[in-house]
Amino acid sequence: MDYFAGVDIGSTMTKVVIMGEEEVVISLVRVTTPEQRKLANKVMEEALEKASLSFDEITYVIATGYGRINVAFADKQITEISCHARGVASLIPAVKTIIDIGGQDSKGIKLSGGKVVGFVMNDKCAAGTGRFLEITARALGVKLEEIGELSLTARNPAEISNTCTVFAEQEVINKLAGGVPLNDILAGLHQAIASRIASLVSRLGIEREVMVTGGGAKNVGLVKALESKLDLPVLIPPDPLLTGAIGAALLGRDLVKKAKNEGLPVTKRQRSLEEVKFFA
Amino acid sequence: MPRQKDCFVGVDIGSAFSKAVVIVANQIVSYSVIPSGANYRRAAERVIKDALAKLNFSLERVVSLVATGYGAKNVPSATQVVTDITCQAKGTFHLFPSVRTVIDIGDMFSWVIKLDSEGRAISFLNSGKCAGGSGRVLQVIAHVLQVRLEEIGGLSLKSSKRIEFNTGCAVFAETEAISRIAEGSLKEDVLAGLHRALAAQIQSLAERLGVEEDCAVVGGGAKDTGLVRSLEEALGLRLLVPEEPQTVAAFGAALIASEGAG
Amino acid sequence: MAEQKWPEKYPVEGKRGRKYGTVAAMRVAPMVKAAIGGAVEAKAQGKAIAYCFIESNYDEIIRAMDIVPMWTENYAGICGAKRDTQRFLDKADSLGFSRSLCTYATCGLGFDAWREELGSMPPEAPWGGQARPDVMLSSGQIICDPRNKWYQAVQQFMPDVPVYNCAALWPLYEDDIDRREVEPYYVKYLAEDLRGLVRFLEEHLHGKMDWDRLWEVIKLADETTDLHAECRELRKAVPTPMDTGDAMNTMVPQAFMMGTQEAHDFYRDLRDELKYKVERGLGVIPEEKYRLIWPGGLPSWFALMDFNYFWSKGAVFPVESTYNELVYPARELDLPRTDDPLEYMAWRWMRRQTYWWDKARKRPGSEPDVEKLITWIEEYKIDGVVIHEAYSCRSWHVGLLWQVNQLAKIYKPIPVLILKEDRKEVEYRELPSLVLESDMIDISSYSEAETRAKIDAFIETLESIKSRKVEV
Repeated sequence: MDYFAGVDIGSTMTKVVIMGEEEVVISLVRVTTPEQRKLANKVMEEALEKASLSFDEITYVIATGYGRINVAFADKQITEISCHARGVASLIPAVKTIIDIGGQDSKGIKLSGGKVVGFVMNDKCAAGTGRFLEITARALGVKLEEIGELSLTARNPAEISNTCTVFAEQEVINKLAGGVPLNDILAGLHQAIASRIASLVSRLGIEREVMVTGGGAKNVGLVKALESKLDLPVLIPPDPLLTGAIGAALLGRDLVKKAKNEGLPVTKRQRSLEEVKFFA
Repeated sequence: MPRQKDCFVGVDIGSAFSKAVVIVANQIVSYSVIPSGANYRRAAERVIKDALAKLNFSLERVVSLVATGYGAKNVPSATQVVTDITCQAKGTFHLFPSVRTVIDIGDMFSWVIKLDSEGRAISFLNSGKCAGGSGRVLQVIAHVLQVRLEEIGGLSLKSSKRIEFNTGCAVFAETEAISRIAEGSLKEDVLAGLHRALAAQIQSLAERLGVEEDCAVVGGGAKDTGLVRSLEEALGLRLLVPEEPQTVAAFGAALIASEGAG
Repeated sequence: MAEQKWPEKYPVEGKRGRKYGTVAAMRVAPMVKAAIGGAVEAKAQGKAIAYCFIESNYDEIIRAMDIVPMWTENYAGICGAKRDTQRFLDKADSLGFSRSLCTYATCGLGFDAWREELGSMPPEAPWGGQARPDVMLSSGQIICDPRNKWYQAVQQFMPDVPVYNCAALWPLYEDDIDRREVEPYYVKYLAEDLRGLVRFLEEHLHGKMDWDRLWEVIKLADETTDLHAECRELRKAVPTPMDTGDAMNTMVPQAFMMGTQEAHDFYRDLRDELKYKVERGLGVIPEEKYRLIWPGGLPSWFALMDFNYFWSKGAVFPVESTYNELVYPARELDLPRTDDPLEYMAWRWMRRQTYWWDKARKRPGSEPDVEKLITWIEEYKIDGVVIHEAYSCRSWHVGLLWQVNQLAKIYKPIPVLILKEDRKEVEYRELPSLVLESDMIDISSYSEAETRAKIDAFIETLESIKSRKVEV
């Protein structure tokens, strides 16, 4: 039995998926810490233990995400664009547009026949990423997990005029101090970020079906706001954080299958799962 | 027996810090700096009280009070509100009459102000809609590296290895600093790299207006000796820095208060 | 002659609380609305519509051939004034046009792409929408790349509409060249270009140029410009009878209706109103304290109320360069005689462009636009300079900043006292200046609070200079 692993090291969360020929055996989500080489090893070890597998039983490992070069034991590194696309295609083949809202970036990926035909990314400016909501939520004294639901109770969404996260933070503090209801401010924030993301992705030409992945997909307020801006229904995968890692594992499986069909060896890099010391 | 009125107060309510300066005969006799928090009115009341308390003065001794800064309209006892541009110009020029360009590094904005030989602001520009060119990034980095804000300057001057910072965003600077540390870079090198990046943004702003010597740096950001050094290198000139750069606008406001009464 | 009745007090209040220094300025909006609606109607009636840019030196040709112009920059400005640009800008963005392009162009491109997709006007299009053209006449004037490429880009959505790119250019000034040496070369090129334009219009719109009629329209246009120039002269008075806020409206006939009787009569009436005001010492506001110059650049069309904010602080703008670049009486241009109306138009364009060259050459470091500013600063008794840097209009506004910096370097009229050892000396400083940053129609770039704070700081400086005026 072949096993395939996908390791997705995002700027905020690290995800590991181990799958067999057909099904996912184990998946893990952990917070990304600065020492990513150590982290990658630790999370992999944890996943293997939970799945009762040894590292040698893993036929192929693909690493993806912002920190993919820090996965020393990977056989291959593939960009998150390709991995997300593969992961989403396996869940719902009808998806043509993926909107991935991560902790520190947001992306739009266009698919045609399951293949990536275009993508756009914002990773230069914190506005339009999960950070925007994280920072403003903290300034308002609300837990990140609660902002989505709260925002949906708003009567009169506030207008947030500042684009920059730093200025928006100041603006919401002022608004709160000025008596604007918390849920109205949250609604305004969600609309602002949805607007920015919609604007980014519309450069690709948005076609149904649209799927939202990443941490942002777990925010029901953000999802609703996006649906409103796009004027389209939006699909959410059962585990929005895992599409990249699932896609990575599947790509590993695809590669191995192809090699076997053509009678070629599955090239593996010299690697092992050992304690990593980082460079001085 | 009621004391006569003999002092003037200037109050600068900034987005991060509130400052009050008390002057008698145009000399600073006391000042106070406190975080502004979310309630500017309360911050104003507290910082004024604090500055006066250091002298054992009561509010009755204040002839008049001028307010400035982002939250100026929240100062209850203000006789007048004057823009922070005019107050920075006034305060800096009083301290250094040779100054013709003022660089003010605040929490959300950096300003470059040109003065005429009577200390008036005859043209000015700010860093605009992105917080990347302002002092906010210094607070973020200090927090992330777990260094006290007052110490980042001194620490950065110990840097011996040059690192390039890639991001212009004040928010992402945090992530970049974290990654650098994770790669094994030293805190002082990361700080120096950040200072260089910020100095480059401010330099670009200053050169749009044209820098004329002497040039002074004021505002909270000027307390960062590492940033000042980076700016000097970027601009290619020596910069004048007041002893208490964060209070210069409040000082200017107090001077304006004293002129108004004359 | 009919007696015009003008108010005894100014400013007068118009719609939505905006104040005006002249009654004439208030008449403009309905004129524009009628013209835009008129274009849509004309299209429905089968008349020829041309997309046009202002200051392209082809107004009389259009009018003489009964072509209905659709001024796309104007339409974008109207969307801006109505604060309804975002959806068009977003549309253009989604088509791949960069967000840092000229927002006039991206607004127009977004609008046209949408109109072509729908086969009808976008929903609730401002003032009925932009009529679909039969031809498009672009002109980049050398400096403006969007105006060179915009209509070409629009052809993606309207491949059946031909484009003619005109040469009406801003000739490059060199301080060691006598303009008389280069003018004939430019004029030859300009005249050829206009000939090409006429041929193009005749071919594609199946009309024929009536050259006698063209001469008549030119004559009417010249008289109109003379009247407009007179209006500007009248604004030298203290207090000034009209300010830039109004001028952003009263420029409309000059820019969009040149060659029509309506434009002529408008400036005649404006001239009469200004004369009336000057005779009675009526200014724009009751107490005029500071006189400012607008050296060029586009205003924020959604924030024309900012001029009222300046007024509330006692500051008015007796003169601006924007839309005044070509307003010089024909008699001052020393135009050579010719039978060819196109050659005449070419010479007239050329001489308007080189109007300030001779004077600029006499002052080291100067150049025509800066020289014009210095002259007007003195003639209009100006205290300070205000420029608006519209982020999406790179070509013009980068140059503006340079002009203002150059002006500061070579022109220092304000005496200030400096202490040298124990004696006081007089030093001369440049005029104070204010740079407002925003865009002409993209409101997301604008912060009212910040703009007003900057204006306040500028006024504080002006006040300080005024109160300590050094007698020299």
